[in-house]
Amino acid sequence: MYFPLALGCRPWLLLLLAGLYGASRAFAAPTDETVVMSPFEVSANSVEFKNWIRLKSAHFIFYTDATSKEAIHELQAAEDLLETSQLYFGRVARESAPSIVVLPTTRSEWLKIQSKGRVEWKVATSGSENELVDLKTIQYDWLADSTVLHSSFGATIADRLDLAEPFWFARGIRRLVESAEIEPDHAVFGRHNNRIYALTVQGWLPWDVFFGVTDNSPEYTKSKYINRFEGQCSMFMQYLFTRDDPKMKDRLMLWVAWLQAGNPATEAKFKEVFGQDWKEWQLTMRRYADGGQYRATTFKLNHTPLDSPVLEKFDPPTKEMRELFVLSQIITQDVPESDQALKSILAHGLQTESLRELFIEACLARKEKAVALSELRQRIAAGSTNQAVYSRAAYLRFKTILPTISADARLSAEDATELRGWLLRTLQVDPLEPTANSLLVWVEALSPTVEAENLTTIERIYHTIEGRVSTSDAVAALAVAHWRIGHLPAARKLAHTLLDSPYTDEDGRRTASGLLAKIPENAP
Amino acid sequence: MAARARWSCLLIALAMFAASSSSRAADSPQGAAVDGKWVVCHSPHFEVYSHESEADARQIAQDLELLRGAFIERFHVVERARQDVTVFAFKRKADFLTYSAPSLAGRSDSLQGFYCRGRDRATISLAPHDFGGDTSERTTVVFHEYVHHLFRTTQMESPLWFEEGMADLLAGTRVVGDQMEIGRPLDSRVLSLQHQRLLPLSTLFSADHNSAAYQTKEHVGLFYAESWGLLHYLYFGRSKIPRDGVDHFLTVAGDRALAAKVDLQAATKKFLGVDFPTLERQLSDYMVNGSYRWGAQPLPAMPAATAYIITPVPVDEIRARLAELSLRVRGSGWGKFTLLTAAEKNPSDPRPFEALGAAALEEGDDQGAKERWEQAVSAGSRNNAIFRELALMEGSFWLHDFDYYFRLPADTATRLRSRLLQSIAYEPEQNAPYEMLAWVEASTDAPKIANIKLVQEHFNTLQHPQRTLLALALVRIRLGQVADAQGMLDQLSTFPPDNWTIDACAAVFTAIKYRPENMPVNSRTRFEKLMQAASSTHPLRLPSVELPPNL
Repeated sequence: MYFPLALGCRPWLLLLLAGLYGASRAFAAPTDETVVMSPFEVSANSVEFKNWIRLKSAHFIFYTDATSKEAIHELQAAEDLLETSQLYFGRVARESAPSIVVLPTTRSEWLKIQSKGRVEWKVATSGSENELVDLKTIQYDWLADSTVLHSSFGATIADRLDLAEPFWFARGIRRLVESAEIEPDHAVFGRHNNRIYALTVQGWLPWDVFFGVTDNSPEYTKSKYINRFEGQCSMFMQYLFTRDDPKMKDRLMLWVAWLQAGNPATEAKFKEVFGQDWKEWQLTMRRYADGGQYRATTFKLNHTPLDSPVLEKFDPPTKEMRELFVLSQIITQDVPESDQALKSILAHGLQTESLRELFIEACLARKEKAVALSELRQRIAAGSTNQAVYSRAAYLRFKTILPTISADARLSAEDATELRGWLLRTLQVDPLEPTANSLLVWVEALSPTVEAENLTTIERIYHTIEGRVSTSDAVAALAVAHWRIGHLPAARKLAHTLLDSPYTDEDGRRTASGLLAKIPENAP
Repeated sequence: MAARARWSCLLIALAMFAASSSSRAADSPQGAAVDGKWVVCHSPHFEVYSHESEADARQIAQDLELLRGAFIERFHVVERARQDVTVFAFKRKADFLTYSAPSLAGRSDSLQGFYCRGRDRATISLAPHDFGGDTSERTTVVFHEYVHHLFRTTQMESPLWFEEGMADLLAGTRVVGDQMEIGRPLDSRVLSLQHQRLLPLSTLFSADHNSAAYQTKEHVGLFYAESWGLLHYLYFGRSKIPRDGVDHFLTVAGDRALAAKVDLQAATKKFLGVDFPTLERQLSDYMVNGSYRWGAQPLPAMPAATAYIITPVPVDEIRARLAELSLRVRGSGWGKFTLLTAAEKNPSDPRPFEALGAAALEEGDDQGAKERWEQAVSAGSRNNAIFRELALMEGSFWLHDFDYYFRLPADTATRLRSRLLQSIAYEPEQNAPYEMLAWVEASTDAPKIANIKLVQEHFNTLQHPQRTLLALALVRIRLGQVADAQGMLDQLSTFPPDNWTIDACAAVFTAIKYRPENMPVNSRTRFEKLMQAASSTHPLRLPSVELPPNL
């Protein structure tokens, strides 16, 4: 995933980086070794990564070559933003494994290699797709402008709060976190984001286009459009979150739920939700942009001078830093060199055990699913404390066994037992973990035999996730489970519920239709 | 927000109405009835100015003292928000009307008296004996309104029917020899009930100020009458209903919070042994029957009326008092001018400042009110409400929005403490000053232990124990006794929750990093509940596919 910054590039920095990168490529001439080192490894091996520190807090791990003081300041800000965001958005964060954030300074060797993402503009932060380990690498001068860091934390927070879909919504949440003011004793949410000024220069995207933007859309990937899109995300979300009327947030979530289910962003539905058509809404936004008032929300923070967010601190060895660097490049760069680097690591073996899960993330990023599953099994056998290891293993295994879900699909008893065990292990630590919940309902529904206990588990999951993420999967699984147990009226009722609800996704509708076809009209 | 003075009057037929402040006119009575023939009677709880005679003043004071005593004895309550009460008894109809609200002019023929409520003082004005009725009717008028005053100052929160019925029931109180007769039937109520179909009891019990039964002309008279009639039947009617059953029923039905929690139909059946239709029928029969008893009880213990101090009133004083009445009731320019002149002439008299402050508040000028009342304090006011209201106004300004980190400026804390302790000194039975005192101490870095002890000694009498407990816990935190504070916060669950306290408590938990994982199980559950409640107002809730009911 890539992260834009609206501040523009610094020419001197680009020149410096270009020079350094050129030097490293010249050094990386292939040798006659059996496995050729990748350019990433060559780059990594060219430097010593001296003066780097690793700091761990409750929810973040920082790698940086900044001073401890500078790093701890930002580590505290990250924890503060995570804590206060939960209050501001009224949602509890999931208990995910700590996010890894790499914070090179402008003088750092790390910046010898830049991300080469799909976007045209220079990225400020690059990161993983957050399947197993949330990794972010900050590539701008975060010491000069912490906005770039807050933006990165915003992405982590949107994910931990399950506010990551649709695309414009996740970006908007991120912008709200980005514009939060973090002071030693308080945090302020709701301030306007400077990105909105792009709207004055570039104008607004039509609303139907805006709501349909994805990370592949030119409105996002083209440098000439990105600021307009981000500005519009900022403006739209700030407006809705800073109204005195709390129903605005309810309307927003209605709209989000409608779009999450795969429904089109039509003007008619928008008007039904927000009470204004596109034209009227544009007028509302323009008036707001021209000096509308908003309500900022302040949360007090209780830090004493003796408080420190740091739970662990040590100087990582050069070997660890080099592997971290290579893995981060593999994860964030969709280029042939990434495949080469992964192949090299597979041949040589990973030397730093604490980066093992990041290595699995790299395998997943390069589509090496079999290797990833094998590695995950080893982590599970070793008793990994990262709950995502279990849910990712379950996901990969489940998709291998049942690429598509239908009422007729079945899991073997062994598979069901193994998957259930992994998923419950995840949910013990992180009961809201969406992948584990959506998989477990299907494990229960597609087990060799379905009994009342399976129904109870699905219903429990439904009530756990209800109001937070889509329940389409849970209701569809419950319908199948009722059908399999012989509760045909209940199955029919649930299938009709799925077809009638505007919030059922495509998979849910397909399952419901398939199920209804199997239930005789005159069934009791 | 400025408190609005509330005033109301009763007509002969006891039809109460209230006029809004906007209907007040600034026309001037220009000093009517200002002469040297007034006397003032000071009883323990009243100040009665009479233009009639010493005996009249003494009688009014005694009647009101007896009613107050009987009310407090009957309900075992204490005036936690006591206000000084001033009564004016006029000798001439024209004078009485001159000092009544312009909006009452259309009812001048039947107007017997009225009651006016301010934040600092309540005022009752009475028509002369020979105007519009005899003494007992005038007493009935005043008693009805004074019972409402007592409901308010004792902080009893009762359903509308109970308060109105009780006000009528006690309005008929008379002293006969050495006994008080309570519950003499009110002719107008009986007549009303004999000639109208009764409201269903379910309607009566659930009525509030917005209900049709209370709002519409065709019902309001019946509502008053039936409220009175039901209480009269339960207390004095001949029936097989057990006495303790009536007491139990009225304990539940007469408490707004309790009544809201129970099924009153079931409670009626349980305690009175009858269902609603049967009770309605019995009440109807009782009214048609025409035979009523009433109760008698010994006079409550209180100083003899002969001990009241009665003195003639100098002309300057009565001018100032009547100006005060005129300003409070009519917003009169003459009244204001006269009080300003009196204040200038005698700055050591606090009363003009008190009234000018109340008038400023009525006009929405909170700052003006504060300045006038500060002058009253400087002039030596002994009105507990002035000290209390000054402290509450300033305290609310600083502490309305809870902020764990906020500290009162030192001089503000000192001033608030002084005002609150003075108010408590003048009226120790109040509760609001103790509650505010707890919050003042909770909002300073150096809480005064003596004040905390004082609050804790009165904790069981407080109206908002949960909020005060939170303040006391905060004091412990300020003093570094976090474990004690956590113990106190755990006790919050034993009190009815209110949103302000829940939000503030959640903020405290967050601020002191009272993490759920470090809590005992009970505390953790409580914390989670609080956090849930605190965030339940605006959570980001995603609509999704809902499970159908009755699956």
